[in-house]
Amino acid sequence: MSGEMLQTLLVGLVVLAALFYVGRRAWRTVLAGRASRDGGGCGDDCGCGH
Amino acid sequence: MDVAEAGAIPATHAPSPAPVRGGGLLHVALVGNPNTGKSTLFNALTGMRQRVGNYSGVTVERVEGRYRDADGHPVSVLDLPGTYSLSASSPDEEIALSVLLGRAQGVARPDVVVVVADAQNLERNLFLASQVLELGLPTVIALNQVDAALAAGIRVDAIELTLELGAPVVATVATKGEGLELLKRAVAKAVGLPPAGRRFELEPEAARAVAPLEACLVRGGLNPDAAGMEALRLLAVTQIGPHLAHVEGLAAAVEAARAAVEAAGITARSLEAEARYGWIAGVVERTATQTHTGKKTLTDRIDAVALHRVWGPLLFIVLMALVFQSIFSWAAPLMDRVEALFNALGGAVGSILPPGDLRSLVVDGVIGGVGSVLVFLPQIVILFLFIGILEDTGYMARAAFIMDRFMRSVGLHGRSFIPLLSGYACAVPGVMSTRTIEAPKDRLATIMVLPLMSCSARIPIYTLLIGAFIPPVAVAGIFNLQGMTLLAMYLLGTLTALAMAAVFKKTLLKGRARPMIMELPPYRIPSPRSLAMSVGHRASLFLRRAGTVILSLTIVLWALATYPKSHAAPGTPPAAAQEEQLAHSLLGRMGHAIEPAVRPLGYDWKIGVGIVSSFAAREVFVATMGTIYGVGSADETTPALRDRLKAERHERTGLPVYTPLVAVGLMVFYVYAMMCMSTMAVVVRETGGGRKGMAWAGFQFAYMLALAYGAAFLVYRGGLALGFH
Repeated sequence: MSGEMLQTLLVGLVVLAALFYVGRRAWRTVLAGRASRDGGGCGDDCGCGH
Repeated sequence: MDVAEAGAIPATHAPSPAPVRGGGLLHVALVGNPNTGKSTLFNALTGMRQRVGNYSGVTVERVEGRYRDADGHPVSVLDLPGTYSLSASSPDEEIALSVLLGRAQGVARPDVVVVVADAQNLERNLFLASQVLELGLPTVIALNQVDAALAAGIRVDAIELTLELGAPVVATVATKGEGLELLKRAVAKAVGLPPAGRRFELEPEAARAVAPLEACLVRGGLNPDAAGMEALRLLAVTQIGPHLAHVEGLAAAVEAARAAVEAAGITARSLEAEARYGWIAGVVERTATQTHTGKKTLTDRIDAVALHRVWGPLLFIVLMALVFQSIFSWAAPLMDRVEALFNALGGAVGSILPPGDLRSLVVDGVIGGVGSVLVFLPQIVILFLFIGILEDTGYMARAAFIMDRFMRSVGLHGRSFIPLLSGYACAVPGVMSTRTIEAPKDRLATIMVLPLMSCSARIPIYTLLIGAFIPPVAVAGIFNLQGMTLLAMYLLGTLTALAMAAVFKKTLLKGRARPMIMELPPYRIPSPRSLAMSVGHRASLFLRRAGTVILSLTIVLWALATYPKSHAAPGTPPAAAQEEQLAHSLLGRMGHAIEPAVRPLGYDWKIGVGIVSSFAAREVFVATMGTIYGVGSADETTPALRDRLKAERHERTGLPVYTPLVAVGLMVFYVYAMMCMSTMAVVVRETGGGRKGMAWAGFQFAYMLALAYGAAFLVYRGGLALGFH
C-alpha cells in the first residue's frame, strides 16, 4: 500500500468517526428533549455542566 | 464558635444505634431553605463538586452523591432543591415534596432526612423543619453556619433544640468541614428512630374541622403523620399537586375542611402559618439568644451603597465594566502564549508528517480549527473567576435586587433574574432554573428570552472580532474601547431580553408582575477552594466541548472543505490554487448557494458557512473560520486567525471582507441568534415536551433568528448609510 493510500485510508476513518460522533450527539440531544423533567440537562457531553 | 460546643449531640441525647438498615445502601435526602449552605454541605459530605453560590435558587433539580460512614457502610445523599416550605407551589418545590413522600419516579423514599437550617435565620428555617418532622421519616437537623451566627451575636443551644424538635440537632460549618463526622454519625444512628411527628397542638375546633380531611388522605395511602402535614398545607394552597392526584374525593374534602375551619372563626389559609409560627416563636425564645442587637454590621454598611437607588445601579455598571475590560487586558498576554503554543504545535506536526491529506487534516483541520477556539480559554477563566467572586461574596443577590425594579417594569417576576443570570454562563442550566418560578406564564416568558443573554460560547466570537477590528483606545481614562464593546454586547442581549419579555407579557403570555421576596445573604469573603472549583469546572467544560463536539465538527468541516479535489492548471500560483480548491469543495459550493441570503448583511460565503455550521454550537463559527482559512491558505506558517480575517479580500472587488462595521454586525447577529442544539432540546422539555414543547422551541428559534437577521441588516446598512465602513 502506498503512503498516499494509507493517508487517505486514515483520513477516511477519522472523518467517519467524527461523523458518527456528531450524529450520535445530535440523536442524544433529541432524546434529552423528549426525556421527563426529572432528567438531567441537555445530555451527555453537551458542555453545559448538566 | 466551636462546633462541639455549639451543638454536637451529647452522649445523653444521642439516639441509640440503629438496629437495622436492610444491609444495603442508606438513602439520605438533604432539604433546606435556599442559601443555607445545603449544596456546600452536600459537596463536603460526598466530595462532589455540585455548584454552590451565595444566593438562593442555585440547586433546581435533585443531585445524588455518596459517602461511607464511620463503619464503612455506603450512604447515598440526595441534594434536593432549596425550598422555604413544602407547599409545592413551584416545580422545584414539587420535586422536593414528591421525593420526601416517596412518590418521585425512580427514587427510593429516603431512610433519613437531613434538614439543613441556617442558624442565623432559625425562625424561618424551622417552618420547613417542622413540616418535614411530620412526614414520618427519621430526621436530623444540620444547624449550619453557626460561625456566622455567632459573629452576628446569635447563639443557638443545640441540645435544647434537640429536645424541642424531638430530632437530633448537629451544629455544622459546611464551608470549613466542621461537624461533618458528627452529622454522619447522627445520620447513621437516626435510622429506625421513631419519627418526631407534630410538635404543636391545633386549636380543638380547628383539629376537629381538619380531621375528615386527614382521614381522606390516610385512605389515599398517606401515613397519619404525613396526612396531618398535608391537610394543613392543602388549606393554604390553590392547587392540590400532582403527588396527591391519586387520592379520591380529595378536592371535595379540602373544600369541606376549609368551610368547617372558617365556620369555627379561623382563617383557613393562614391556619398552618399561624399554628407553626406560634410554636416556632416559643422554640426560638427557649433555644436561641441574641447577644447584641441594633449595631450596624459590615453588610449593612456595604448595602447602604450597593442597594442605594442611585449608587447601587451605578456601582453595578462600573463593576461590570471593570470585569469586561479585564477580560481583554488580563487575557491578552495569556492568549498570545496559547496562540504561540498552537502555532508551534502546527509547525512541528507539519514538519513531521509528509505533505498530503493527513497533514492537512491535522494542521489545518484539527489544530487550525480547535486551536482557534482553545486560545479563548484565558477569557473564559477570567470571566468565570469574576462571576464566582460576585456570586460567592453575595453581591449577585444584590444585583438581583437592583434588577428587580427593571424586571417588574417589563412584567417579569423578580425570580426570573437568577435564571437570566445563569444564562451568562450557559442557557441550559438557566432554562432549568426557571423551575423556581411559580407562575407558568412568567416561567415561559423567562425561558423564551433567556438565550438572549450572552453565554460563554459567544465569548470566542466576540473576542475574536473585537480583538481584530476594535482598536484598544482608552475610554474615560480608565476603560478601553475593546472592553466597552464587549460590555455593550452583553448589555444589548440583556436589554433586548427585557424588552422581548415585556412584549411577550403584553401579548402571548399576558399577566401582571408579581413582587419578589428574596433573601439577601450577608457578604462573605469567597472561599479560594470554591472559586477554584467553579472556575476549574467551567474551564474543563470548555475543554471537553472543544475536544468532543467542536473537534468532530471541525473534522467534518475540513472534509467538506477538502473534497472533491480540484486540479489546478499547471503554473497556477499556490494561493490561487488553494482558493480554487476551496471554491470547488462541497463546503465552497454550499457556501456559494447560501451566499445570496447573507450578502445583504455584508458577509461573504465563508461567513455564511460559519453561521450555518454554528447552528450546532456557537463556538463552531470560530473553528469553521480557522479550518476554512487553514485549508484555503497556501502559507506553511499558521498566522493568527484574526490576522487572516484582516487580510481577507472579496474575490471580485479586492476590498476587505471584514470591516469594523461587518464585525459589529456579525457580533450583533450572534447576540440574538439561537445557535445551540442543547438549549433547544432543554427548551422543548421544559416547555411541556412533545409537540407543545417543539412548538415553543420552534417559535423561539424563529423569532430569535428574525431578530438576529434584522438587527445585523440594520447595523450594516444603517452604518453604510451613515458613512461607516
